[in-house]
Amino acid sequence: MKCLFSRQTIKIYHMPESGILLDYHGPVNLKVIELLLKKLKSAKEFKVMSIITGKRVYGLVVECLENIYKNQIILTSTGPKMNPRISVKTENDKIYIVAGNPVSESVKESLIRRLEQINNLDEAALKTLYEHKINRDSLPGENGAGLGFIYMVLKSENKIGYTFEPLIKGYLYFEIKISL
Amino acid sequence: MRKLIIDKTSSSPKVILDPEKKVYLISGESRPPDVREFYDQILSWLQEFSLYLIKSDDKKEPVEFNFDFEYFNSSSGKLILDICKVLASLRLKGINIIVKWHFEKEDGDMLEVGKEMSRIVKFPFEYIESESD
Repeated sequence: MKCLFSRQTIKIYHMPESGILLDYHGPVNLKVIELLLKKLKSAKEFKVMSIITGKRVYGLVVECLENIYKNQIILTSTGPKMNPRISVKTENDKIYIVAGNPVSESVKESLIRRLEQINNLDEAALKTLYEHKINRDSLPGENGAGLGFIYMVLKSENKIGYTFEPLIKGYLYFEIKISL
Repeated sequence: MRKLIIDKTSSSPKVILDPEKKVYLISGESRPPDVREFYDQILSWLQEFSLYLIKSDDKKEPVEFNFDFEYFNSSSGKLILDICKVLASLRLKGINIIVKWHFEKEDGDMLEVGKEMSRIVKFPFEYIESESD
């Protein structure tokens, strides 16, 4: 984690409209993660999901929030997309999870490379890659197992959609979209 | 041999590793803020326990490890596999280790990940199905 956003009001938008389980814009810290996961579990749309679907959605949201928490950066400028975001909604029998956060422009190419590699593997190859990563020794300085994106594709059974939008000089807003 | 007891929190599992009572259990949800730090205490305990078991006169006495996770994140999965590797190595040294992998009846993902871990460490687990809450 590079640093935390600071002194911003924590607001959790649990939208009343049907189909929106969670929609949050703001800094992400451990306390926020707990609150958001509690909100997700208490959403009526979540409670009616099958056990396996509910656990998959929960697991995907955890991975998204942990990615944001570990990688978030401070941007002092104000703007609509200067903060991390996570949303979960249901629509036409599908579930969509969108997670975004500002990133340094310097990480764009490596993120695209990783996402494209994972998106272009079939299930067998993904499982082989997962096994390789889970089985190898951690490298010094690693802040995770490097399994997050693989986990997302395996559990959602869909490719990860992603976009980069320019923010201020040197920074982009990186957003992923997972559907299941 | 000392015991290791860790209380459950909203993000970390309950851990009972108690040789006196012969209870070896990790259960609940695992996504601790510092996954490495959390599992290092278990892996360190297991190292001590391994030496204790290898020196033991009765290697045939069953040592039953129970994994009963509701959920674990991908980072925890890597460390849980490390625990399974230690248990598999003990089994190869003649210790009568049994691993029971619990899963909820409708949670096929948890069953599948248990089978994957068992395959990777080349150690047959027992799978225990429980009714969903």
